[in-house]
Amino acid sequence: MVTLAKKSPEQRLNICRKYYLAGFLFLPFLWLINAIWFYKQAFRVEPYPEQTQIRKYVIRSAIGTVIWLIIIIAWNITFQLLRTKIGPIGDFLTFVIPRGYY
Amino acid sequence: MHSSLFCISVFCLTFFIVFTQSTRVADQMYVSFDRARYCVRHLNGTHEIGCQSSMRGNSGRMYMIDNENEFNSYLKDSKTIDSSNSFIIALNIELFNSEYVDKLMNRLDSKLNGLVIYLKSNLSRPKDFSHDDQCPNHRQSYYLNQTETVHWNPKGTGLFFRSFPFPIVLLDEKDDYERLDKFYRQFYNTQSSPTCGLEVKAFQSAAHTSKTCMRRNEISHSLLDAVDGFCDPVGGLNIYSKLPDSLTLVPKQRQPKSVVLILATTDSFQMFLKAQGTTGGAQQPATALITFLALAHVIGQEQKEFNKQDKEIIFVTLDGDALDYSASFRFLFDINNDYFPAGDKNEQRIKIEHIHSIVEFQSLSFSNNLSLYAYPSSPSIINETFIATLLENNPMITRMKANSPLPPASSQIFQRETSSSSFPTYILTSTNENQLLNHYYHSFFDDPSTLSINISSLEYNTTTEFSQWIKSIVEPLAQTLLDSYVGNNITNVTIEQEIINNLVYCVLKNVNCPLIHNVSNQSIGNSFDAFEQTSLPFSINTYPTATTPTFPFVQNILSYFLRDREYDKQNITETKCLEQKNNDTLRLYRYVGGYAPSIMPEQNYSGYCVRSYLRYASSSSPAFSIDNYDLSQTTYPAWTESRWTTFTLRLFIIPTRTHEIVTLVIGILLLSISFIVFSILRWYVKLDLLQPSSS
Repeated sequence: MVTLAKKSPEQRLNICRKYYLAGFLFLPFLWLINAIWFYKQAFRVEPYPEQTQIRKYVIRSAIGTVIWLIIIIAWNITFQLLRTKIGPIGDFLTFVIPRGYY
Repeated sequence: MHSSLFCISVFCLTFFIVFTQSTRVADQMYVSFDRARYCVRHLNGTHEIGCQSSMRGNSGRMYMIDNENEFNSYLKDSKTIDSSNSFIIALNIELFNSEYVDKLMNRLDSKLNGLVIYLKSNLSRPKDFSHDDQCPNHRQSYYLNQTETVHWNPKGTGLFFRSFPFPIVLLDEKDDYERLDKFYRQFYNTQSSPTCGLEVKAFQSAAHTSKTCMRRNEISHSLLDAVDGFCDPVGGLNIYSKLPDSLTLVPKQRQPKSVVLILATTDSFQMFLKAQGTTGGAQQPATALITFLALAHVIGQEQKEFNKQDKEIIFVTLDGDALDYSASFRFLFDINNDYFPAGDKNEQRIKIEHIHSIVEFQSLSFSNNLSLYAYPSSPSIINETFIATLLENNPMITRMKANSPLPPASSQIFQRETSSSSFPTYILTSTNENQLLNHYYHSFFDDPSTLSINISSLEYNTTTEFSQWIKSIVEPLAQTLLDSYVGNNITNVTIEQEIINNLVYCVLKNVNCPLIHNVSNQSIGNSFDAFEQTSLPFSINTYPTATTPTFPFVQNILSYFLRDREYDKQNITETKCLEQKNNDTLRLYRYVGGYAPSIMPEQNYSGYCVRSYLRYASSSSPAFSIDNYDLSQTTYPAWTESRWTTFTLRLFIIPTRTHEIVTLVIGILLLSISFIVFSILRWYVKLDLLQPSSS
């Protein structure tokens, strides 16, 4: 288990940056983890020089997570409502075809 | 100390296992009914019909309704209906029609979780039991634009073609009814006592329409290649055969109006299916099929005469006409696409203009009145002499007046698709005043008892009134065909009664009979052993065809009856027989044991090489073979049958509310006590037993 307390501030900044950048590859969970894990480092710990950078990354990760959440929820609702109403596309997009029901 | 404790516990455990009778708790909770009939789901281009249960099964409190009084009092009994939120109603079979079912569905709405129909005994079966429409196949009938519908099946409830959101089961065994009744009476006293509950599992995979289902059949996102289908198109085989010498080979041209088609169907449907049970179909299509095969034998007998004239008499069986005439549509589609006869291109194809006439056997019932429908009635098409000869030879036949509506018959489609301007069709059927005589049309009750046959005492060569009646139909008809096509030299065409008796036995009682073994080669004959003591099944066949014996049965018997009898006399060995097919690709050669009543008495070999003509083609609707055909169109029928896995019906006891609460409370108490005891043990007792042993 990686304990942030044992790492030096540069290493902490490094990890945070890596998570932030990797999240742009359509990986919103990385942003979520980033925001939660580094929240304490960004806002609750005594200030140290790298903290401003970490704070920036944490805030942006949080915003990214919220945007993804909205997209995913919207798509989920749309798909569930329109699956049977848009013709064959609905069936081709369905991963597990329901048995016995339309 | 530890090892001795261990030994003692092992000994106690073995003692208990060996000396007690261990049964599963589940077996003691449920009573299963294994011989029930279930309603399944079918789909067509636009609708789904049939019944459906949830995947885990539908369960509910059981309520038995035996007669109309109980029915009415149940509907008014709000207290009982409110006491539970799901019911499975056990309904007397006499009450199973659209009126009562609709009332029940309206009153109970979503609380109705299933129906179990029971039959008290086979002797008290209802007088009419048909769930086909009152005008069968009206979706595709020739009279699509007619204003008046004729009710050929007046007692039909039409329930087969309705869609139910719950499963419907039918118990037709007497002891199943008695068990059900016994448990019900035992537990139905007052409101506070435990009651019976039923659980029905009859899950169908298909949904919505054939179009959706066939599309979903193709979709598979799985990495493993297991495409598990949802539904299968309805279809079997259309089989045809004729005298092997009446071939028209390229480049000889076929004369117009030189082909006579004799039609019969090989399928039926029932609303309630059983895995290993009778399928019905005795009056339609078994009687017609037996008459058809017997006629084929007579034509085969008299082939010397028939070969002198130029008309080809082709015997055709259609499989799939019970649902919207799928097989007839396919047959006509094949004709229009140069696929009739199928197979070797050296044989000239038959087109519509080559058809001279059609004779069809449809819905024959054992009665002394046969109806002949001749359509179209214009004198330029109908052959009045043929009809006159037929009526003279067989006084049982009554001719229906011109322009009377046609009964449900495959000929309707032949006339419709060819604008009824080319050839006449003659339908031989049993009707009375625009009603079919069959009270069990398309139902499993249509069994040999409706033909006055005592099936349990029927033997391979029993002469029944029914088989004598068949003889009295086939002989005059064959005589008429001879007189009309060949001339007037031959009188008194006969068929041996034994042949008809054997056919009746094979079709209605035991398809694994000596007849089929005598007319087919060894491997096919052996495949019938699996069907010992089952009658020929008449139900909906799906494509790809399951292992039904119907098609090999018809193929082998039909082609054998029409075989080249001169060829029998050539004593050919088995190896030479199998080589013949290399020289002649138009005809079928097989080595068989030989069916005695059909062989000339002078011949006495131990085996025969049989030369015959046989073709067969898939009979599924053209809707499934045309590329990019939109299955929701109504041009061609598009019926499919859903896939299913297991069917179960179980009975269990629903305890009273107090009992349930007590059980729950005891369970919670036990749980909390076990936690408390264990924590006490943990705090106050040193747990040496859990430390690794240091001794």
